[in-house]
Amino acid sequence: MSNPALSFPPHAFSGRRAVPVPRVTDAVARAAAGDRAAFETLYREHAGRVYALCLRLAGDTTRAEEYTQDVFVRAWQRLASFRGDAAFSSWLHRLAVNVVLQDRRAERRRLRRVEPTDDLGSAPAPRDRIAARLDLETAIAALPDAARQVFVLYDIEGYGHAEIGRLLGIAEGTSKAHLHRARRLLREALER
Amino acid sequence: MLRISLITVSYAVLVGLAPPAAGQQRVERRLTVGERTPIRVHNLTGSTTVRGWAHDSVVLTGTLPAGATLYFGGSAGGVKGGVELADPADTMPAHLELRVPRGARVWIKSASGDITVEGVSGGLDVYTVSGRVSVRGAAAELTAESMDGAVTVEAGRWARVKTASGAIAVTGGEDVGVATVTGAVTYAADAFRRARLESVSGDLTFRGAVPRGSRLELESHGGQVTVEVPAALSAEIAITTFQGEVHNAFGSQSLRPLPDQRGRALEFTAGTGGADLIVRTFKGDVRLLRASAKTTR
Amino acid sequence: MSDCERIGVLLDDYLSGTLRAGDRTEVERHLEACPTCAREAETLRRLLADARALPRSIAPPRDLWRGIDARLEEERPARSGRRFIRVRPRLLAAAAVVLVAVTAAVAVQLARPPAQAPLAGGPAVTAPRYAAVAADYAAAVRELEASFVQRYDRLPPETRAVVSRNLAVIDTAIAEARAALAAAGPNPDLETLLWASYRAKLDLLGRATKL
Ligand SMILES: [Zn+2]
Repeated sequence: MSNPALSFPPHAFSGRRAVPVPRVTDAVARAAAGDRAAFETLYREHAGRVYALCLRLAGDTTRAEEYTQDVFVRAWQRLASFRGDAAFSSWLHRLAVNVVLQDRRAERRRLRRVEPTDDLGSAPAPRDRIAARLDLETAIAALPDAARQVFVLYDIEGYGHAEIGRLLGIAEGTSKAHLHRARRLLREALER
Repeated sequence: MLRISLITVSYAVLVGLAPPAAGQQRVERRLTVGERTPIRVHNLTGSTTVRGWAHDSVVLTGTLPAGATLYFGGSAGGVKGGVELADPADTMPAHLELRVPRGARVWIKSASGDITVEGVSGGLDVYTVSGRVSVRGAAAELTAESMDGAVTVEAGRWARVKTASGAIAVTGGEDVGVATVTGAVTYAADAFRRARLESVSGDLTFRGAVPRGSRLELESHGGQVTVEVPAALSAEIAITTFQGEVHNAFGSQSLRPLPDQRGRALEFTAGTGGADLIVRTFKGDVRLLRASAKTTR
Repeated sequence: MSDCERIGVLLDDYLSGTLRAGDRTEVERHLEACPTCAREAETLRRLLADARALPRSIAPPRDLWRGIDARLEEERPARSGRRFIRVRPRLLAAAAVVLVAVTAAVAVQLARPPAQAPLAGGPAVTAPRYAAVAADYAAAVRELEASFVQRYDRLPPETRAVVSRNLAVIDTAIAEARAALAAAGPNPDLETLLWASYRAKLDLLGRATKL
């Protein structure tokens, strides 16, 4: 564990900007063989990235924690199928998107209500220097589900509309419409 | 609510002006600062009163118990002030009164002392254990916490209030979150965007209007939840309770049992919808009441 | 459709760099001539730049590993390997502290999550997630209780009384919600209430520890 060899280039994660880095690291191989300590190393390395993605897709901190855990449990179950033809980080990123979106779709069917509920304190208080960034995060979290997911995937994560359409089970044009709405709502929210 | 805070304020003013009792010391300090200078005040016992004014300066006056020392200093980059007691077990109260620039961001920490703030619009973070908190004149961002003391605030844009057993009364605000364990909560507003009240056993009461596009959530394990709104309510209403009773003055819909012993739910649209009113309890009763014309603003 | 409306529609693709050349020229010409749309485009451009500049990594507010670890026990990877059973002395010591009788009872219940059938029509992920989240909260509570016990003697008697009284109320609520969940099976509303009580407990313990 002294040399986890997990140093992917920072852009390895994002779709449009993605540069797949094919290699199976030592930690990945050991985790796939059932080594939990190695898997914990992977968790420590990637938790922040996965959590940020879940948080923005779900718009809710409590949910984001649950999803992050689901993602790593799912990763553990599927590690054997990870072939190393993409960077582990990209694979995990894709898995996270799937976990969150699948559950959000199921939940929408179940709950009929699609607006995000965030619990008390989960929307961060804007503060001084980082106020602008947090305002943007808060505004993103407050977007309607579909608009938020498309915005996060397209404008933050760099996915294309065709791919987003597939992930969300919507037409490409619908994805564009959601993006347009998201950008408009964000502009309005931030201009206040 | 108003009366209580006025009494608190006038009490603090009187104490501030009274000649010092034997062994007490009067203090007064001044500093020129910026419009938005962050100000931190530490006064564990006794009262702290802060008022915003239209000057770029901080003026601190007060009385300290014998042996206590005042520290106070800083610049436009930040001001720090507070009372150090001679003996940590000393509970003789110190009374501090500060004038601060209106746009300042003020942070106050106390243990048993009351905290009163008026007319600070920048930002406010107040923490006390057993003291009362009273805030008038909507700070844009407000965090107020007390374990046991009552918290009464006028919310600005964003407010978060927490107690363990202290009662909470909040008015106004756009984005408001309130949480308590056993304290009673009342929230009165008619122009919020998002509000969430939660308790374990404390009663939750909302009074006011539910604006179009807003979301109001009340959640309690065992507390009684009361929502008193005008007859013209227009919202999607979703009430779920496991063991509580529901009284609904808006229509004849009644609770329907959820499958698999999952409790009971009452969901309907009042008026044309357009806002979300969500109530969830384990065993607390839920009352959805029509405000009489008089109590409606 | 007025010119400005048409440009407004094209602006998204224009800023995404996915507009056809002909349309792009049209947008650019319009933006030079129309300050309103130019301002709009500028605001949007800034929004998109801000969005791209958001941090890619945000540390979770609490350590989620324990909850994950607890689930790995039940959910083995396809290629089964060694089993790692780790004893966590810190948690064991903490668990030994019986702060409030009910807490201990709850902890015991949490060690054996109730058997649950997936919610009909709902995602099967609910049950394992419920167990994992419950385990995670329970572990966090136990840790905080341990630090709280160390501080307990230094708190003023009134504060001790307030904290203990409120903890007892929360513990009762947790026990009630858990019992109901055990009897009724997965239930999002009940789970929401249970997590809220756990959060109330964590919050109260956290604040009491910092006093
Ligand atoms: Zn134009």
